[in-house]
Amino acid sequence: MKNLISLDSLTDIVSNSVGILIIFAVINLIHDDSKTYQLEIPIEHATDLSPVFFISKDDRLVHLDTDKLFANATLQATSGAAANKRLFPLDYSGLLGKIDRDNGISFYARDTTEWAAFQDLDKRQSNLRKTLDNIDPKKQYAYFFVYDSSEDGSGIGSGFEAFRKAREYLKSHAIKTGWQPVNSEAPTNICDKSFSPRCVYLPSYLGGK
Amino acid sequence: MSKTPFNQLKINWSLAEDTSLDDLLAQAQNKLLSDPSNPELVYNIAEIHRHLGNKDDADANYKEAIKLTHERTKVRGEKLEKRLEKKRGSTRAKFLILTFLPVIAGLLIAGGLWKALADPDPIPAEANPENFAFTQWLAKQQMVKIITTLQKQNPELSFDFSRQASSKQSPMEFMQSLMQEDAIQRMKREQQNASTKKNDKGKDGRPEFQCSKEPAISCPASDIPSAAGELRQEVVLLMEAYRSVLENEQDCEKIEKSIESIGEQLQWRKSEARIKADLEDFAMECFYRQKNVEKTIEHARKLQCTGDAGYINSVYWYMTAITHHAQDTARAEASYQCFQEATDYIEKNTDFSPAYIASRHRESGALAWLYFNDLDSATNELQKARSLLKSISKKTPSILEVSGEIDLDLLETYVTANIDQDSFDELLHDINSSGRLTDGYKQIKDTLVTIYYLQNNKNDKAKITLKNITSRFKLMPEFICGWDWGGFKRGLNDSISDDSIREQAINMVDLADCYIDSSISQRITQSNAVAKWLQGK
Repeated sequence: MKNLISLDSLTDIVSNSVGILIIFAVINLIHDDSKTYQLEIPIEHATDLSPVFFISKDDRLVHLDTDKLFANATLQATSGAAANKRLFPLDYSGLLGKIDRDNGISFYARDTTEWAAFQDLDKRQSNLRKTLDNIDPKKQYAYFFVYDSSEDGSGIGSGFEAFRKAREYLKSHAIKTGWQPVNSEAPTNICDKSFSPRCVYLPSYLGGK
Repeated sequence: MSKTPFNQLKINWSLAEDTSLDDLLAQAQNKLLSDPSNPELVYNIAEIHRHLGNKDDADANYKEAIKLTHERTKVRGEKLEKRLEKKRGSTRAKFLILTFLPVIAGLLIAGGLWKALADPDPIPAEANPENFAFTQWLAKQQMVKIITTLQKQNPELSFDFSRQASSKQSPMEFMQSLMQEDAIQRMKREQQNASTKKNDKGKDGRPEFQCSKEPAISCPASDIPSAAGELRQEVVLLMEAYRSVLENEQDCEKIEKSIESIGEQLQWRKSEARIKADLEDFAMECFYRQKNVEKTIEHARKLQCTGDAGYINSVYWYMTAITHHAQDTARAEASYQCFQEATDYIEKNTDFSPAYIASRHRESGALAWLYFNDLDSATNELQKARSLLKSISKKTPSILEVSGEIDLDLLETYVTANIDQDSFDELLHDINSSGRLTDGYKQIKDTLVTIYYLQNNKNDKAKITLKNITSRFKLMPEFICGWDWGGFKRGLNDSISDDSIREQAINMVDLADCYIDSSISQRITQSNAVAKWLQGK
């Protein structure tokens, strides 16, 4: 007579494995409360709001006061310092400027030591927080030029964490945000599409929660 | 009575008690013939042999009985094994079903829950790009991409997207923005050639144009770009970039302050008058949007003081609009006349192209109709523009574009005035043969034509054009155009005396009005309703 095969061990293994998987699934379901939005592509669109510009690099943020920047750039332009696409100091948070037909005015961010660390957002009285708080959500939105970390393959130099942190903060204040990635080859720039055919400056903001 | 051996056997076999062992043996052997594998029978035969003293036969039968018993036990065991095997299969199936079915069901439920929870939330209404005319945006982006490529390959081509409908603009705003979007963009291109040449002549920067309806313009020195020197290229590029900042700025006072601050730093040169004019134009437009009469006029004057011929019409457009808004009719009329004089001035004294000048005549017509309800002046201005463009032998794409727009404007005035058939047909022929109309503008054209036929009782022709409208709507994924029907609709009250025809004309206007929020199917339904009314005529 043949010996019958026992199913006891197999049953134990299968039932235990399935049980564990179900437990994991339930735990994940309970803990995963993050939401994702089905954003239409493109997410960029026109807005009547005015942009308030920021550059995000090296885990730091700087607000671009366009009036002051253009005033400083004007001084340099009138003195001839900006001729022939030369880099010139803007006397503003270590930024250098360059003027050319394709990109309008470009802002080179080489020294970021004067900029505010994004951790300052946790401090109630920080200048960075005051700057963000001054944005009027009915008239303005924040636009970030974010340095990526691909320049030398390391994470150093990235502005994404600072940008994300600032965006979360702004979102909690119902302020819309837009952004575009920049790097040292294609730095922050402000130009006018009607004059610069290669101008890709497109203010946009992301759909908030 | 003592029982003899095999008594029970004899009873079972229905034999007499006195049956001898030999007969019993014979009987048993007979039975064995019919059931040779019966171990009990063989055992009984062996017992009979033993009682008869046949030891060898008894042994042989005993062995045979044991053998048969063994075989029977084996068969029984095999049967039992088969039964168990079958039972095991059944048990396995039950196990699988009862064990995994709940698991599978659990997984399905968990999967469903997972999907439901992980499904992207609908984007908030205020951030949904669809609410920002996503499809229009996409179409525009695709068109810009195509046109950019074309422009790179054909630098002489000129395109203007100003007539694309914007869902944010009201028809009135659209009409008023003609200067802002349509004219000024052309000005910027034109003035780079024309006004720069004029500034090179070394005049004192004061406005060369003086309107006869206004006192002599007195400009403070700070408003006149008067410094000597050549155009600073970096300043030009910088200010062009700055435009994009000012363009998005809603704080007019901030724009004003920025212009002042930049001016102090730059000390505008005569050669840079165009840049200052451009900035002042921003300020003027911004204050106009706020309906700030005083500030709009102030910056219109500052703009005038730059002396740039390319902005004269812009000055008087906004002056007309803002004074009309302020209900200063006399001043609005004077400003409009200045607009006309300015158009004559640039026509005679500047190097602006015919297309540019024709556009100014067109705007003059729009002003006459929009603010003064003056159909004759509107028609005259449009006819001037049309004649000007028709006289040009070499038609560039920009001339053809302006021609198409002017012809359509003129058609509207013709229908409002219910002009004679010949003039109407001549214009319609030009429009139909221009090849410059988009589907959206074809709908507008056919709507105007249908109304013209309706009011002249040419119902058969009206049916054809109405059919064209309906067919085109069926083929259009969406209806994009930019056409202000306000003036035309207003004029219908006077131009069509028959109530029922006027009612249908208004229905036609509504179904063709891009600014009325209506689906294509609703527009088709409206069109069919008019067709049904026509059938009954």
